Amino acid sequence: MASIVSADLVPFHAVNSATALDNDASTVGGAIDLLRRPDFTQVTAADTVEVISSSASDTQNCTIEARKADGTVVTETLALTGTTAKIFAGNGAIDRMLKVELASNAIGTITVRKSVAGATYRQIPIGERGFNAIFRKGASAVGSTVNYYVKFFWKNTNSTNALLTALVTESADPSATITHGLAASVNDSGTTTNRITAPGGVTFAGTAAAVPGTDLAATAAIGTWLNMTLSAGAAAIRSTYTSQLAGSTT
Amino acid sequence: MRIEVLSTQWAYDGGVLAGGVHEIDKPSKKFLGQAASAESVGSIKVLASTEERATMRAAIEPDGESLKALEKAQANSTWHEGNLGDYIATKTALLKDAGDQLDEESRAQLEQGVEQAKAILKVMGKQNKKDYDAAVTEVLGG
Repeated sequence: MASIVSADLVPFHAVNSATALDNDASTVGGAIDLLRRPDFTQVTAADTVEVISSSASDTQNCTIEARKADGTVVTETLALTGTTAKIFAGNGAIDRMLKVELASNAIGTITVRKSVAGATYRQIPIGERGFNAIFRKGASAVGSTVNYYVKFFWKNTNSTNALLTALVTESADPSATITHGLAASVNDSGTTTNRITAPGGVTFAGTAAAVPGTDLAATAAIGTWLNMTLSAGAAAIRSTYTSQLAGSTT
Repeated sequence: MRIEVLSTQWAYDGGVLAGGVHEIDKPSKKFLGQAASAESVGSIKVLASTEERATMRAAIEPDGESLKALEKAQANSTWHEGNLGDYIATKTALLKDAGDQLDEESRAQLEQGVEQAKAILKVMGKQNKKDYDAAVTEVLGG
């Protein structure tokens, strides 16, 4: 059977990411959500987004939540029009996407891109439902440090081969605010009380983290927690973070 | 029905509602579906009648149904085409926009991954019946 290639190693959100990561009250973490991903290319400033599918059957509603340059959060819901691009311009230009959610699974491959016919921000594969930013709508405090915690999964989608000596590393953290830590076992469903409460049993660091059990078995996923630390009075951040899962394969 | 827009503004097919509470008289089925979609991501809160709520529920596919479609797409390799396309698009953008922030090893791995993904997609494009594993094996020469 086929060896593992880089594209087989896919990040997915934990359940309820579309709503739980917005506030300081909801439970965060849980089991893997194979329908939604945490990674995408952020829009360039003052963009308008459009959505197009490879299938004429994709006419479901799509909701895009975004932040505008003035800081306000806006939302737009439109019915897609299959292989004709649907332009999301009801709120004017946006500064960054926060969530893209389909009301039903993608029938064709759905592309979210700069309008008109510009750079691709993300493709939603058949069967999936969308993507959303992993840290969003948080804020620093005036007199104290604030810590935010979120969980996503790295999944080995290869159906037959284990990823050997699997390591999760932080490839880039330009804002220097994030550390990571792995769940104690693969395929876990651990949670934390809310996004400002540290998950139990997870050690956060900036160094490479070995997957429990050394290898990440075929179809297995490792829960990966992130901790973003905002110092007192920290300025607003519009940044990225790059996590990487690597190992060897036969 | 009553809608509370929790963000600064919610735009939908045919209109815009500003942040705050709105009374909607006789909402159409299409409007109810779009309200359900916005509510599912927490952008609005809806107070609806039993009938309106039933229409809204029907407009959102349960995750369990989506997972069945996902499994089917993974079995026939059509999911892999989208996954490869996404990998190429997002990693190429990452290398272009933030390549200087990555260490040398990470950058090299991503560059190799993008080239692999392109080659696998090319092979799949020539297949009569999509077979991701066969395409990977052909590309890697395994």
